[in-house]
Amino acid sequence: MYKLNYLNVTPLSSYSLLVTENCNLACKYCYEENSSGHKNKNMSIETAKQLLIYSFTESKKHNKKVDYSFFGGEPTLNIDIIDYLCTQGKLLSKKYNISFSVNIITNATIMNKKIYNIFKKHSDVFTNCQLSIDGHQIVQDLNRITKNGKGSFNTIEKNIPYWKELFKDKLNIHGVLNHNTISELYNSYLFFREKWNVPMLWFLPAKDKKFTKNHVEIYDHEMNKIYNYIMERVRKDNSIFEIEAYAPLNRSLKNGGSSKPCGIGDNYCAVTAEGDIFPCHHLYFIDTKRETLLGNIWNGIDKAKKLMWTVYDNSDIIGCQGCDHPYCYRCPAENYEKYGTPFVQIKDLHCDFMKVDLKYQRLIKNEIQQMGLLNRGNKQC
Amino acid sequence: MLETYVLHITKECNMQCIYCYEKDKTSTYTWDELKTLLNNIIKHNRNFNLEFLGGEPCLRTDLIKETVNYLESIENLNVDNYIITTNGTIINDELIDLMKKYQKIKYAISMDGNTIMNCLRILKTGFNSHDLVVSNAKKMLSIFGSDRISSHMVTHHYNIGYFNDGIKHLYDIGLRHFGIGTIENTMTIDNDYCQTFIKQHEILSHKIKNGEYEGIHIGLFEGVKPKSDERYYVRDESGKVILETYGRVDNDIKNTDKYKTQPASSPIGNMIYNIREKVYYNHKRIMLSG
Repeated sequence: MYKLNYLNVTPLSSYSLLVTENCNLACKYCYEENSSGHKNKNMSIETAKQLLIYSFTESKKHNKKVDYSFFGGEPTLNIDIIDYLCTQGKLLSKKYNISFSVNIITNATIMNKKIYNIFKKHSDVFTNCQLSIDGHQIVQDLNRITKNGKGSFNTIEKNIPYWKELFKDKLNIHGVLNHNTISELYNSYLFFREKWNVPMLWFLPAKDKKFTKNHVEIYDHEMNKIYNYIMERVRKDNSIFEIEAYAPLNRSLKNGGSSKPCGIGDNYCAVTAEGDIFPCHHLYFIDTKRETLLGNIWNGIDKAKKLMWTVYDNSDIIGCQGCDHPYCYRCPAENYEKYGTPFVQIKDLHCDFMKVDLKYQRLIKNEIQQMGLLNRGNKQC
Repeated sequence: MLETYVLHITKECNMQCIYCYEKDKTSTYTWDELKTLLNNIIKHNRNFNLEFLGGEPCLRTDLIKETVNYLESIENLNVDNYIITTNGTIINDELIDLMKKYQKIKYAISMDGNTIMNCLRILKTGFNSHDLVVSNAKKMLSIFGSDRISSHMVTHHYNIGYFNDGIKHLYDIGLRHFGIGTIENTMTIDNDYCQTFIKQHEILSHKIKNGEYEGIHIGLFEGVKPKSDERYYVRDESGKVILETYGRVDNDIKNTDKYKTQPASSPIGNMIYNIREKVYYNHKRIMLSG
């Protein structure tokens, strides 16, 4: 009755899908585990059908793309829905001439014949597969544990050859750094890069309350070792591939940052297992009052509620005025979790960690500029 | 319509709202300055409302107390209402005792609704003021009841889409009197905002008509400020704003030589007047419809 249809807000095109909220791990730092707890909610076929209708209808109107990110919980626990969404998405993509892509963020613990075959079947639409693994065995088993309290490393290591075979250069590993793992950053980096031979890597310091200034120094020390390793390979190979492969140092190749920290609620949203639409999955898990709910896949979104996420930009964020870091990793949902507003930036040690990144980004940029390699990237980073 | 004098008693504030329009965030005022000003007001006018504004006026409850005690001691002077326009983050015994002594002191809380609606109202510590203000509002409501504790909501294109969620939230806390404002000067007001403002109020009107909000008072539904209202800033000799008036009285303090008076201009004043008038008539229409 009161639906709004006049607002010129950015259309949604990227969907983070909570295909299940269930997880087979109980990571010590998990924000899902620590807020509402993992729930045994799985996306049903009916919800998936409606999601396809909703997302492709939206894209038809705006002639945009549809991009699904399979997220959870642990998304491979609901592999049938992933299969269904990929199969149907491809059909709709052809029918309506809409570009369709998918990616997955998984803890890499579950791999079997069925899962392998489903990923193989849909490799044509997968653009990325992110394995969430913190580091070598000791590091991984400190925080990323099963519900029975056991480490997950051995299970994952057995699966690595299959993940590599399936996703090849679309495979990357993302590790979270905590107070008890940050001193092993370089060793973890080296382990993934050389032992597993996975080059696309990304480590990020978490919002760990136990971090101190001392950990920033450790981070600097560890980043220095990674920087030296990468630059040695750059000189040896006369190629910037290793820089492109490692976030956050790949930002060295960029020119200027974005106008806002991320696409939260703008072109990007999260769809829950029950079909609710939130500005992002992180907000869904922490906003237990559901104030930031935008709508659902049956009735659509309230565009007036989306307006905030479309119009805000960096200049609205308190705490960042006067800072010259163009590539700082900022998360409006984390800000909301801490301060009750997306527009106050978490600072203190977070800024210190980010400034370490900036230091090495600048060093690398200068060096590769002098080597004449700056604009010779093969990939868009 | 009775004149309301808006008394600035400190420009200091314990918040850093993202949309704050105030450029002067440091000026302070002494009781002697205020007393001289009050004497000049009452020289010309013996019946008015007095609003305390800042900065955050509750940082200076001592000056509020001095002012009310002083004016109430003067014969043949009638201040109908004292209104403390506050960010709601500060309550203390001095203020509570004063409000217990004088029933005509009203406490008007600036808060923009639920947490997400209130996302631009930030304490100096970085936190959204919402949780603290709700806790204080509940306390003040329990002591003084909903007729003396009201809420003023600033809307803009970031939060107007959440308007009805915010009203429900504040109503559930126990608030019954709401003023709804529009951001001026520090954020863009566009057609999307205006249309949403009108639409959201229509939804509210329907809800009120359907009996969802017993006892609610939305200022805008009860009357639009007359177009003839023109706000004046009254500055002291040093140039700092000490008072605002609405120009409802022909000969009063704004016409004296002692203070410099200038009209406050809003580039979007007409646009805001038009949407408010539209909302007012829409409400009338909805309430009268079958």
